[in-house]
Amino acid sequence: MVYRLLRHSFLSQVRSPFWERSLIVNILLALLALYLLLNFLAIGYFLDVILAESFSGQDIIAVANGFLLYTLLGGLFARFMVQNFPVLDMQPYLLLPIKRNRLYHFLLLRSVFNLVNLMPLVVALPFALKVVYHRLGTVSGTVWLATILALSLTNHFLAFYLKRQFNLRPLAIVGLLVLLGGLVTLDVQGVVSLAAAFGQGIMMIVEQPVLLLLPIAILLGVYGLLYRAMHYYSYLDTVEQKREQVQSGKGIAALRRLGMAGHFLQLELRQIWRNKRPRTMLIMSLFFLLYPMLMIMDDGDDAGGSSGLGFFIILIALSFPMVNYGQFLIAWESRYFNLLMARHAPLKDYLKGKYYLFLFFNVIGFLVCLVYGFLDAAFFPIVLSAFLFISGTTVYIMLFLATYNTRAVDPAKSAFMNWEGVGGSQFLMILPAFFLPLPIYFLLLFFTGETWALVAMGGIGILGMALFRPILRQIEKQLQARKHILIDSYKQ
Amino acid sequence: MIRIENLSKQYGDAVVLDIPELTIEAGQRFGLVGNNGAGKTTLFSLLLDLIQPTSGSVHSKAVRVDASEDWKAYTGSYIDESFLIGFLTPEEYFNFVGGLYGMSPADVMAFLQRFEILFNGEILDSGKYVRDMSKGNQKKIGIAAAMLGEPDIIILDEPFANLDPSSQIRLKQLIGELPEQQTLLISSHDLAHVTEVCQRIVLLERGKVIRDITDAPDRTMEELEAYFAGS
Repeated sequence: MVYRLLRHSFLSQVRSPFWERSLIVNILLALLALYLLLNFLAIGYFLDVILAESFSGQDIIAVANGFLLYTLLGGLFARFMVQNFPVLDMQPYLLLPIKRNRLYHFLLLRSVFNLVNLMPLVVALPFALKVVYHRLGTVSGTVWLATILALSLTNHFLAFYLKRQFNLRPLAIVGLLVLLGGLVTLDVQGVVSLAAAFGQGIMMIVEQPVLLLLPIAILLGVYGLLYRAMHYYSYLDTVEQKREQVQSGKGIAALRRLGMAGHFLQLELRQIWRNKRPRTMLIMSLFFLLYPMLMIMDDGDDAGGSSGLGFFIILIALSFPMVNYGQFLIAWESRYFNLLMARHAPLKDYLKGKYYLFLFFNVIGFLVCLVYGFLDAAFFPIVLSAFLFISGTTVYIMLFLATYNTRAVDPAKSAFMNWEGVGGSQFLMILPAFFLPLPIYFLLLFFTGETWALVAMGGIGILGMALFRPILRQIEKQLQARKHILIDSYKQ
Repeated sequence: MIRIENLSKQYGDAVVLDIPELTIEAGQRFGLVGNNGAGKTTLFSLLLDLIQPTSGSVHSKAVRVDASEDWKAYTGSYIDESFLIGFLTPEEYFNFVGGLYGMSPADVMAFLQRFEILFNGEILDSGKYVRDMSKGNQKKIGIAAAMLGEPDIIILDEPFANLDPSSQIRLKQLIGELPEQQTLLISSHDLAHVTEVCQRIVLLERGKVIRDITDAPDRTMEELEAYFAGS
């Protein structure tokens, strides 16, 4: 039986739609995974050197143990974001004559075998072999390694559990986070010394191997907790009951003044707000707007500079929300695209709504980036010029290329490690959006100097905005021509 | 109202639809029956310009559906869940669709009065998003949205499927109450329902029209049963 379950899970991996992407994307992803793994391996192998240089004179193992608490907390956070409770895999088997208990154990144990769990091992093992075994002897070294692995496995299951709890009682988890954050702050400021105490705890286990039972007991405890949750969730109606009541919104009154385009904009804003993936992606893009800040802090006074770097960075930061969301434009709506095509939804207004949405993103970016102007006046013209250029050119490029987004996207799924909808067209969109303006700018910069280059870029943007109607008409024709291809490829 | 000429659809070598000529008059209640794979949904998708014909054309009033968007202003339709927007509440969804036809939220609510019995208190003010509703309730939402704005033509694919018996009866009443000038096209597996609400029944088999019954409505049921039992 277990063999058959294993075989099914193997098939589900092999036949997963995950692989049904272009070969290039698969290769890139594999390279990315390999790269991460190698990075972690390098960290593990050189950890002793790194620690010895940064904390000369201290015992490396004690220093490493001192960092452990934060590493684990960071790991827990990352897992919380990335991992999904394996409860859904269970449904097809529930009606079959398999003992439920066995199914729970199987799913929980299977979840252990993934790339994320390889990471702690890849870091800890080289360090253990190179330093811990050497210094403390085989028994203690093994105990140390076992403790670390038990703790990271605890993390693995705890992340599932917390995620479930987060869906049930978000406030409790937020409270927990605040508490944890407070403790960490106190620890960093030296009021209490949590991390150090934790490190000493690890050393005690190493000195008294019997104490290894403690982390193992914790691991089993968390496993048991999850096992019980699994049992609870194996009844289909439990998820259903928890769903809270939603209220119908009246919509934003001001959007009505935009007419039919406002009608579509309203829909798209709701689409963003009520679906996990676009919402998370946009919130993350806001952080990207802070990116130029690093450069200003790094570079002191000559941040704007005549090197063109300032323009480059502002341009990317400004267009990031638009490009990040826009790379799946139209594909976000794959679920109800037939409605838009079969009912009285004028394509012109549909596209205009998206133009306004992008403009809205750009204005927010513009306002945030204006702050850099206050920090360094040289940024004012750069931000204005980049804003005008994006709103008059990149916006149209995104709208036009969106008609090539033939991969359906389910926006309700998580944003993390989600490659649904990613294909060649994303590269085609992101590259010109970010990098087409640059050669133009650098050419202008070379021939006319910074001031005129900025004026010219802004001028191109204004020209683009002035040509709004004819350009939009061309994009409308393009969408009309691609309509049947999109409908066909969004069919499930 | 709708005129089909030499319409065919092929996928590779497989001909899924081949209709040399078919005209649907204004005000007609048109029922499309046939087994799975007979081409019912394909025909409706062609009428709505959701797929392109291999050859031939569909005219709605005077315009070709693939050459103009004018027909959309007077055509309401519901084919499947891809006509629903999952992250909206039913009210928001009706307001969105109604807004496409220039209806205000108040117009929409007034219009939906007639669906009160069909909705059975489970649709409006349900506090749920459309994506969290049952298949039957989703279908009710889709049907009501197709009728929003009193379009001249209403196209419904399998409207009776997934509905409970009370809702099926109520839907038949609603269809009976439609204004006479409205043209209705429905497809169905359920012979009893479709013969009850339609004066004209077209039977599709492997993409071809093999019966077109317009007269003798009392004998329609017998004739259809004889066909489906035999094939």
